[in-house]
Amino acid sequence: MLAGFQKLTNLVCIYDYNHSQVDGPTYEILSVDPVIEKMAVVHWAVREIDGHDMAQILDALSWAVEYKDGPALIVAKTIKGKGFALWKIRRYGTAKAPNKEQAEQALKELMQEELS
Amino acid sequence: MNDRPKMMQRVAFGDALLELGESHPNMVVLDADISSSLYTSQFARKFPERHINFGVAEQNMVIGAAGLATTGLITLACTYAYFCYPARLRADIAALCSMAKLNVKIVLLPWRHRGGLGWTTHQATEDVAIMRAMPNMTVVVPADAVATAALIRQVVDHIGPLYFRMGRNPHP
Repeated sequence: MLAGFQKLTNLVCIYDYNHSQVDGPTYEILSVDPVIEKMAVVHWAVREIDGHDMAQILDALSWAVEYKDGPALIVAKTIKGKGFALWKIRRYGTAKAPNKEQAEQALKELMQEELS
Repeated sequence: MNDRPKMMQRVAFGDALLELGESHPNMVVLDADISSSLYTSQFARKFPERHINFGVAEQNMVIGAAGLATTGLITLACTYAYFCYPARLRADIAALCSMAKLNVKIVLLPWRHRGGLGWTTHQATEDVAIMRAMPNMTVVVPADAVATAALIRQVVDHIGPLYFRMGRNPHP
């Protein structure tokens, strides 16, 4: 509210929009939706992007830096553990880190995806 | 040497809640997004109509607990001790629970520093002193899992605001 009211043009926020919190998905615990409309109401400029797409991220950052009418919010839609089969089948994983074997497996899967 | 099995206080707490849920139909358990860590998730599964998860919103949870307590319910608001530090939340505990003598039980778990900066954010060192300074507040600090199971039964039957602070690590 303050940032929007004071038109803090040098403020850029990237929101990791992954619907994940410790006890489960946000839509079962405490959803913040509709986040875009809420932030727009308090005078933030909002852009929604695919948080896994580097081109979109860079593009949105340029937009945010150039935007001079107030603070900018980039809502980056992401999937927790994208590209790692084991993590994707879990319903959530905000507070849990993979163990050593899982991390190695994840790296292998991600490298394969990168090569294909 | 000492080879007695070790048990975490929160495991004993979670098990005791299941029994207390049966014997105390007016008991409700409130959480702030860490029910799996506090073992209150068992209560949530067994008595979903008497469990409310407020999400990462501890202040909201304590205000909600005070509101529910005015209707005659025994309310247990559960989170990590450190999250009771913020001044606004502390003010809510003082004004709504301790001064108003509402029947709110605040159940806390302190995280201990385990190395790495991340854990210092969850380390509670002043909470007992803060709570002891509040009017009408009873502070209960069980020593181990056996004491936790025994004391939590007295805690829910105690009338008035109470701060129940468990330890983190398993004890014999």
